[in-house]
This record gives sequence, structure tokens and C-alpha cells, in this order.
Amino acid sequence: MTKRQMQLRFSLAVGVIGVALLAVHLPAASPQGQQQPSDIVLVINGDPGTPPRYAVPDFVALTPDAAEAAKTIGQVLWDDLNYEKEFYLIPRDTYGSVPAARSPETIPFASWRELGADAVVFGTVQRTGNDVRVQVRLFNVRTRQSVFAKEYGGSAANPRLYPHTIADEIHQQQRGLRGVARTKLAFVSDRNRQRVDGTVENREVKEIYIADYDGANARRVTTSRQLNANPNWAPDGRALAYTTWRPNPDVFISFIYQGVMQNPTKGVGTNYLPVFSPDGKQIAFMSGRNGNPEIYAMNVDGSNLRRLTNHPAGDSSPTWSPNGTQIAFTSDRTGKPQIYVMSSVDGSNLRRITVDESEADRPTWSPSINEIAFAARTSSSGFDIKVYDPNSGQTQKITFGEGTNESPAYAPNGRHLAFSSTRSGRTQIYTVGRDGKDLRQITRDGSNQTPAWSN
Amino acid sequence: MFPIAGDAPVSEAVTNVIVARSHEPDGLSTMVVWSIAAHAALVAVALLWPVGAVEPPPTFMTVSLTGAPGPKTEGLNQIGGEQPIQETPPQPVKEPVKEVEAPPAPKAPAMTLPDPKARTRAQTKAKEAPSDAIAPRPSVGERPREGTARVRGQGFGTGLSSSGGSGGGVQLDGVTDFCCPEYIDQMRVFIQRNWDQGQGVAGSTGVKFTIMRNGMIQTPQIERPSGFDVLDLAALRAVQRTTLPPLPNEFPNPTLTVHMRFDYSR
Repeated sequence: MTKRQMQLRFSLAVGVIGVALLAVHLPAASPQGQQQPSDIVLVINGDPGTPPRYAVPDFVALTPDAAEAAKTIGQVLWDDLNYEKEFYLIPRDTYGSVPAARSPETIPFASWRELGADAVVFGTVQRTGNDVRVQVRLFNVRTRQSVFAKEYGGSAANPRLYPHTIADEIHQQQRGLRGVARTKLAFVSDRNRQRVDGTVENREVKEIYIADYDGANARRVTTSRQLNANPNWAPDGRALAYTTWRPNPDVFISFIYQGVMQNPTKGVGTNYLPVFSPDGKQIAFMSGRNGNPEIYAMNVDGSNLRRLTNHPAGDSSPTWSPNGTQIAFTSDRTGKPQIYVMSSVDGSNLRRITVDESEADRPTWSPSINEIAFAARTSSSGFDIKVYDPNSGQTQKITFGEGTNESPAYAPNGRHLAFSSTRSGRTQIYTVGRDGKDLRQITRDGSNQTPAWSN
Repeated sequence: MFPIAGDAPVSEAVTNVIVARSHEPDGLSTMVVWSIAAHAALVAVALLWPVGAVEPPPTFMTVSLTGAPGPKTEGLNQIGGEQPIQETPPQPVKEPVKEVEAPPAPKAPAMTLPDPKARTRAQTKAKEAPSDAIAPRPSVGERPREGTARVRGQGFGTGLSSSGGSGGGVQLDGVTDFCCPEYIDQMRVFIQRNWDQGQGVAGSTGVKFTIMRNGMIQTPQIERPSGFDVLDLAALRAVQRTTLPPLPNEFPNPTLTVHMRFDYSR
């Protein structure tokens, strides 16, 4: 470069800065020499936009015994990031043309760009005895910069915990969204095919199980060798309330990480269908203690019992509104089950919300938005899941007559529903998007029903 | 661990060049002109340089997933099938920004079943654990251990958007080479997440706000009312509820003012 050229370029630079000095509101020069605006004009209209395209190749095993965990972590992270539909996940079977990177310095960004990736994950797994260290980075393929970098340490016993955690953190950081990859489902299952002790009927035991949101890692919670039904999660995810037959139906609460069990209803009458209030301090439930099924509420320790309904017809299936001030429930007071809403304090302000259904049962209030899912009779043999929006008064169908579909339960972010369905034979748990898309079968062993989704 | 070099402070580089150039023997008058220009430039850089220091790209932060069993941090401690589980204290997910403190020691077991018979039964049935339960080994809680978090950068980095441009109805007005389309897309997604669009009325509200370098939103205000209070309120609330990541390093200005039009359809 000649001296003259250098001078020219330099005066241009000075010129830019000089103008900026004269008029401070004009854009300044960026480090790259580009001008950048200090004001921008945008329009948003609810269009979700084009989701960024993510690639999640296998994690790199830094020690030979980490190979299996590395494969699991990559696959599960792909699934977890795909679940919310906030990203388009490039299918893993198309990564063959991209050379595998052993370090962040060797990531073939050009190849990822050819594949259309906006972002690529690079992760490593190192195992030391029973411990594992997982490092993960998310790279912007265009700028080649790392936008997310974390290291996780812990047990190698459940490698799926790492991708679940990473996916939730990436959803939060990149999209401001609460993911559900670390949430759990509780449900009732007869999968170990034991028989109930001491009954005339030769019935199978039904116990409460919990599993990851994707159905993996299922574990049994109750051990009563009786019938257990309708689990419901405490808001902190550390306890389950449920109905258990010992031999009369009664409400129990199991603190699953402590091994402590409580019986707040203390065997007074028959008690069913407990649900925690959003603050976790109360339960609402159905009880026949005064002759016919009515809705009651009490503190979790059994104090402060109050009756909320008083009608000769049956009232059942309570569910709390997200702010805890109202309870929706099913009532037979018109002859067929329909859904009603009332105050959770004293049962006042009662109103019916389903008017176009022949039968409606099992209401569940979304924990995040004002919306109630329920099971509506859509044929002589079955139900479908519908979603009711109190603001617009409109109802939307989520399932479409395949088998009978019952017991809807919302994911904590309100974007998915779990429910039970007979569409593949025995009753199984499925999840589906709030829009009725992306149906997934969660359970396969035995028959499984009445799902509840943890926070 | 793969260290990332921090961005070199560009202000230094620019001023060094300017100062160096100004000392070149180029004739007296030229030198005077250069000197004035250089000083002006220095003042300009000082005035216009973003207040917040340019942060280095995020480095690794270490998160330990071991600890007492809990809804989000199971660590070693799977819930053991039919095996009674001993009590261990809650273990919140560690915030990576802080030094990780060792979890409290597990408490003594406290198994309190209401029915003494039930307890006996539960323990004897442990042999018949279902196939997917882990081995019936007493769960004593993970040995507490020191965390290793050493956090330099914040978790937030640049956003990522589709290479197909910043879709979703984002229009950048008269800007051809905007440094950071990903950030704009991220802002749109974050605000849209907090926007209750279903107001039953069609209309358009203009909201103006300023993003500080640390991502804080300042002085959101209605710039162009829609004529419907509910629409204006919902748009303002969407902005007020939003916390944004810091402005990207590539964006040189100290603040970014956004004129955002919220379009409601019925």
C-alpha cells in the first residue's frame, strides 16, 4: 500500500468520526467500520417467524468409556431441542457429509453452512469413574462465535439429565421460553401385573409411576399393592397426591424424595381426586363424607376443611385456576356431566362453561394461560380432548376420534398436553402439542392412565 | 476447556493508529491538520464509545448436577423403585453466576408412614422391584462436594436466528448492513412471548423504547396509539415484562432505540 492510499483511507476514517462528532445522534462507526443505526423500526404481528436451524451432532467422548453417554446425550439433546418447535432441528442422518470435529477449533463451519445450519452444538463428555463432565457450546455458524458455553459435572448414572438441562437452558437463553425437558409425568400403571391382595375380584394392582417427560426413566412410587389412581404433582415437584384404596378410597400425599407419606383426609368418609393449589398449601378433592360426592378443600396438613359444593347431584374432578382463586369441576346437576367454575374460597360465583357438549368431564386448568382442557363425549364409545378459552368462549379439538381420549394434563408451559388414549389398544399415555400436532406415545408397558405433568 | 480470546479493545487500536499517523513527517501544515483531526477523533471516540466495557465472549461456566435428589437435580440419586427413600434436604439448581456452595449434609432418615403395616410390606416387597427400577441399594444421598464454578462471562451471548433473514414480520427500516440481525430476531421472540395478542380487536400500536447496553429496557412509551386502550396496554405490557440479553459486542452504540409496531388482527 502506498503512502497516498494510506492517507486517503485514513482521511475517510477521520471524516466519518468528524461527522459523528458534529451530530451525535448520527450513527457511530462500528469496530468493523460499518455504520450502525441508533434507532430501528420493527413490526411484530404474532408470526412466529422462521425458526433457526440447529445441528446437534454426537458429543465427543474424551475417554473411551464415555462413548455410550456421548451418543445418548447428542440424541436426547436433539429430541429435547426439537420438542418445543422453536428451532428447526436438521435431521441427524444428514450429517454424514460433515467431518466430525474433535475440538471447537476444528468445527467445519463451512460444511455446516452448506447443510443450512444457523447454529451447531459442539459438546464433549469425559468420564472419571462414576462421574461425568459434559461440556457444551452452541456456535453461531455465520459469525463462528460461541453464544452458549457451559460445563456440567455429576453422576454418570443418568446421562439423559445433561441434555435435558442443556435444552431447558438453551430454550430460556435463546428464546425466552421455559422448556419442559426436566419435567416429569406421573401416571397409574398395572405394568408389573401383580394381583390385588384379598379381594374377591381378581384385579391387577395399579400403582403410581413417574417418568421423564419423554417416558424414559420410569420408576414406581407407590407400594401399596392396591388400587392407586389420579396422581397430582405438588407445585415444587417433590410430592404427589393421589387416591388410594386401603380398602376404602382415601387421599394420600407421598413426598417422593423423602419417603414420607401423609394422609390429610384421615379416612373420614371416602375421598378421591386430590389436586394441589398453585401455591402448594391446599388440596381440593372430592368426598362422599356427607352422603353424595361434593368438592372440598383443606390445607395440606388436613386443617381448615371447607365444603365448596352442595348439590344432590354428584360433583367431581376439581382443578385450580392458575392464580388459585377459582376451581373448575364436573357436575351432573343437569343430568349429564358438564363443567362448572366457582370461587375456591366458598364455592360462590358458580357458572357453567360447557354448553355445546353432550358430556364433558375431567377439566384441567392450564397452569400458564387462562384455558381449560377437558374430555368431551364425541361418540357413543368415546371422548376427545378439547380446549376451552374463557376469553373468547371458543372450544378447540385436540384429538380426533381415534380411540377414546381422556384425562388431559397440561405441561407447565401450557404448550403441550398429556392424556390417556386407547388408540393403539390398551390405554396408554400420549403427549400432544397444544395445537393438536406432534403426537407422541409415552408409555407401552401394561396399561397406563391418568397422567399428571410436573412443574 | 477451550479458552476463547477476548475481543481486542478496538478503541485502543484506532487511537494508536491515529496517533502514530499524526507523528509521520509529512510537512508542517499537513501535520497540523492531522493533529486537529486526530484530536477531534479522540474526543469523538471518547464521547461515543459505549459506556459498558466490551465483554468477552462467554467462557464455560460449570454446573454441578450432583447433590441431593430433587425434581431438577437427581445426580446419583435415582428414586429407587419400591425401596423406601431416605430423607435428604432439597437441593435447588445451582445458579452458575454464584460460587457454588456445598449442599447441606443429608439428614437422618425419617420414614413416617401412617400405617405401620404398610411400612413392613413396603420393605419386604423391595425384592420384587419392577424391571425398570434400579438396584435396591440404600440411597444415602450424594456425598456433598465442592462446586467448581468459576464464571467470567454471563450466560447470554448473541442470539441466533434463521439465515433466511430476520423473519416473522421484522422490518429493518433503511438499514442494509445491520451488524446483528440475530439480536433483533431474539428481541422480537422475547417480546412476542410476553405479548397477549388476542384482544378481540384489530389495530396497530406503536411503542418506543430504549435498550441499554446491559439489555435493560428503559422508558417504554406509546408512540402511536391505536385508539383502543386494551391494545396499547397489551403492547406496553409486553415490552415491560421483557428482559433482554445485553446488546451484542458488535453493536457499537451505547443504546439502541426501538420503534416497534404491534399489529393486532382479530
